[in-house]
Amino acid sequence: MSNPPAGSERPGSSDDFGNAIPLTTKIANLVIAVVLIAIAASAIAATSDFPKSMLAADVGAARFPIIHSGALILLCLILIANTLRAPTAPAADGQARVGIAGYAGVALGMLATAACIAAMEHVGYGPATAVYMAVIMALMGQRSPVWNPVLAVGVTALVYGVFHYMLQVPLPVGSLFE
Amino acid sequence: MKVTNRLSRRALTVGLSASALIAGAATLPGAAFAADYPTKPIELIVPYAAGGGTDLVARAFADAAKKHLPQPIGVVNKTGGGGAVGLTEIMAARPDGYKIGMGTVEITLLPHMGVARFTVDDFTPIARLNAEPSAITVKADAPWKTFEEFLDNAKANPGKVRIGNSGTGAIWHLAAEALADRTGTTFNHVPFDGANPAVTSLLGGHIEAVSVSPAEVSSQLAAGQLRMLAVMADQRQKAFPDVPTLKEKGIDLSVATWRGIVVPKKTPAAVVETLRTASKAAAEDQSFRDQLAKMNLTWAYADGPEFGQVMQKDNAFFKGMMTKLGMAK
Amino acid sequence: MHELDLLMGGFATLASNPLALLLALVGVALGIVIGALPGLTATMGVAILLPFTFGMDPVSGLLMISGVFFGGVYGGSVTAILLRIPGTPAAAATAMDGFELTRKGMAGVALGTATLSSFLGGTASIIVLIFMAPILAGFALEFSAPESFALAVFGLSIIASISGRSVIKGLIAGFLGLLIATVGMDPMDGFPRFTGGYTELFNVPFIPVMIGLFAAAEAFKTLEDPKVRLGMAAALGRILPDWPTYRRMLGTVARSSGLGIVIGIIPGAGADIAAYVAYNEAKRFSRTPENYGKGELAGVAACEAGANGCTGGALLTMLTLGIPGDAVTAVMLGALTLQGLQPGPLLLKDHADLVFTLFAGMLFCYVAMLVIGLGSLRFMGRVLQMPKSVLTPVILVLCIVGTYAINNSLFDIGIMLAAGVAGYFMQKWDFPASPVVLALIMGPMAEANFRRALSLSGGSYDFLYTRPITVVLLSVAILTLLLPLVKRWRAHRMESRRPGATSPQNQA
Repeated sequence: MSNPPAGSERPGSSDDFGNAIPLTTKIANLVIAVVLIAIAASAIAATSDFPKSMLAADVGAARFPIIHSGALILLCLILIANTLRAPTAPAADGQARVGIAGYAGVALGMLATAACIAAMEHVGYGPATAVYMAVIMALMGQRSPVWNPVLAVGVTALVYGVFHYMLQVPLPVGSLFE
Repeated sequence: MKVTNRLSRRALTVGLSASALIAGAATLPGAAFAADYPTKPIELIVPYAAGGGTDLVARAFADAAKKHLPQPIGVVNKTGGGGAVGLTEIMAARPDGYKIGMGTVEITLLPHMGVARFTVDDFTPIARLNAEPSAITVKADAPWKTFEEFLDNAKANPGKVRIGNSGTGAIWHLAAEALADRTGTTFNHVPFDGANPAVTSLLGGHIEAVSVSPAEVSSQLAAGQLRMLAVMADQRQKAFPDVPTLKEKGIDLSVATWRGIVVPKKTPAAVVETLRTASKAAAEDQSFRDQLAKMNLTWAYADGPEFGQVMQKDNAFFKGMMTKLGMAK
Repeated sequence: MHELDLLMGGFATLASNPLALLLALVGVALGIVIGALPGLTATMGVAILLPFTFGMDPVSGLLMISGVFFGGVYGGSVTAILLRIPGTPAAAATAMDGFELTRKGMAGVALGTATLSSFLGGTASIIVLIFMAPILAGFALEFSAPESFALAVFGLSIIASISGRSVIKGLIAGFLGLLIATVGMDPMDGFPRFTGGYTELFNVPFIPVMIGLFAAAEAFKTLEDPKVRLGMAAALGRILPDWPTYRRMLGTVARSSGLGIVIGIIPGAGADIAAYVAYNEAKRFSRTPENYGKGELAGVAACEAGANGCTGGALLTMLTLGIPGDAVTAVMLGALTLQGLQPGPLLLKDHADLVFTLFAGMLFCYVAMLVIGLGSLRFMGRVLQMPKSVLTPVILVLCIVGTYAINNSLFDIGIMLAAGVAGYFMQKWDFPASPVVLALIMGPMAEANFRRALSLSGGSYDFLYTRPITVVLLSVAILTLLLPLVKRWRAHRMESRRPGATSPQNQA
């Protein structure tokens, strides 16, 4: 396939060098920067509980996290400054729009993954993975009543065979069957 | 309980293959379940990474146990937290004997550091398989030929002698701390990410000594690059008969790491019995002893009760030691 | 040439032991599979195989393990290039340019280049191991904590050159990675940091994060476009690069192999670091550095030659000093002792015949890897002909199962998912993932060795400027970090002189 997936290739554009930035990217930059500053600040706050090192010549457990967090805050502030200073560009050029349906698909895929992990704990690898495969395939457009279940069960069994028998990695049994 | 005990003994005397048949046929839950143990493969949780010393002991044991149990033992590595993750899993496992664990000396260390949810009393000991003492090893070209010279130098230069260990709070660090405590010296304890990097650093002359086990320095000793001054054991090591013990030097200190099979506390007595019998047979199997010898590991079988005493003794010792050092929480 | 005679003798012994050759082949094939699957690393493959080698003769057993080791290092590149699933941390570097090539429909050439370069790098490293082992062994011992710290800093300085479009965002990703890398047990005191009481977080869950950031994020992205869902993934194209193309890369391959060998010798540094360093140096010496990150074949060649160059270096330290530099060689050390061979200075003296038979076998393993690799690429490339609606679910399942396999932990899958979600948004807003992975590799190494060095020197910071290797590495690191920044800054000054352009005056 020659055309790359949406939003991957925007050669030449650069967000932090004064070039015009689309409004959505501006908002995203600001939100991400603020979130990261919050994370870094809370990390610094958490280091106040760290004990002093037992070793005489050591700088202690807190030193490096504080340095990293400090640098992270500084860099985020620079990003915020750059973003605010840059002019706003009209809606993204060359970037294919991802519609509501697209984002819904991604969100459903992520939710299904979370559900699969939760289910694996109780019903074990087999059922959780087969259902998960079927759901993701359905999300991706493979909705054939024959192929969808056949592929889901087939791949699940194949992966089980490879991991359990060939590589001797035991897969979760599930607390209900233990 | 009497019934289950008799049943289990009968099952064993009838023969292992027969007991497997009975087990397969038996559908009764409860008491009969324990008696027919094991009816399915047993999982052996190893709290350290595949390929490490503990893992190798576990795999050699699982291999040897095949002949003495109707069901195979599968090794599962659950790493993380310096052993805390795997040991917690063993502690929290359903006490039916199908999830057993490789207990290590960390059972008696981690609880005092406040990083574990278990204590030594959460485990029922089955069998100790292996034990390695701590030893003080220096470079072959070091000016100290004997342990006394080494100690005199350390006393004359407090805080200057650097002893490498396998990590702060790990067994070899505590061994060196205990030595400092008993002899009234101060060392500079340098933690490494495991014993191997510490030995590398010693070879490069970046530290003065290491406190790791003889097995971990044996090839460099054989090549004449390192010199072992003393072992922290009650008796001299078979492989190194010329190296004196600390006891001979008038210091009453022996510190050793150990590895052995443990199960969760509430495991039924019949299951514990079966495992103890099988573990004894497997541990005394020549193939197992040969495997350990090849890896330079010391075979140190001890039956459940005796193993339990070692665990309790170490637990008390390390608790006192760590409280003194300010590491205990 | 005493070594050459011994090596010839080794080949002769090997020729009379067809079983050993067969097992070596099996080992290489198994290694490629293990390396290609996410989460399964060469270390794990070697450990799984170890019990099976108990009953074999030393040569067969050790060659099979070597095969898994070599194949495992190489195998990671296959899925990294085809699917952006880095099977191993080193392959995360390969994925940077490899997957871009796949997007351009040049997956075949990328795979062929990776295979050839892996073979050349690996073979070169084994030849160095054979002929120069005793000379180079001492080098490993020069490396103490200050040197390792400097190496890690050098590794971190690479962030500037793999940041992609925005250096600021690259640095933000890098420092976020460094902060994440401090989660878990503190390397000196064993104090658990930022764990929230979860024992699972005591060690940084590095591989789950990597799988999530690369593979899962990519899979989530394919979910967003309804049109892509039914399409085929990409074309494979030709497999072998044409000779003029590859000849231009030989310099890069040679340099990367050399770097790989040296880094392999250093204890505690392995294929992951070698791949990134080789990539960075390839870019530094390239006439077209701007192509890196957008599908540059030489970038793939550098990473693979560097990563496989490590194998011989790591074996060198293990065999001659009895010290394993990384987890794989630690297991191999166990395998050797189990076979009654004590690695260390005496090994080459006491068991020269056997060791040289092994060396001959290792060269055979690399040839086998080349043949199996090139022979199976067409077949493996079929993956790309699968409809995306089937491929994406399969990738996600492999991510889940592979992550589980690392520690048999469902918790890790949760981490993987979180990293996947984060990676999806990072990709969306141009925050590169590679600096995070690099920081996770180098961060703990930098911190542990800095603090250890301080402890060794009794609290004095003199080690930063009194040790030659440290000084050189730190200087190179500063240059690596600053040069691209200076270049960009100058470029932008030129640009900003044009009327109407806003002046960008940040230092990035």
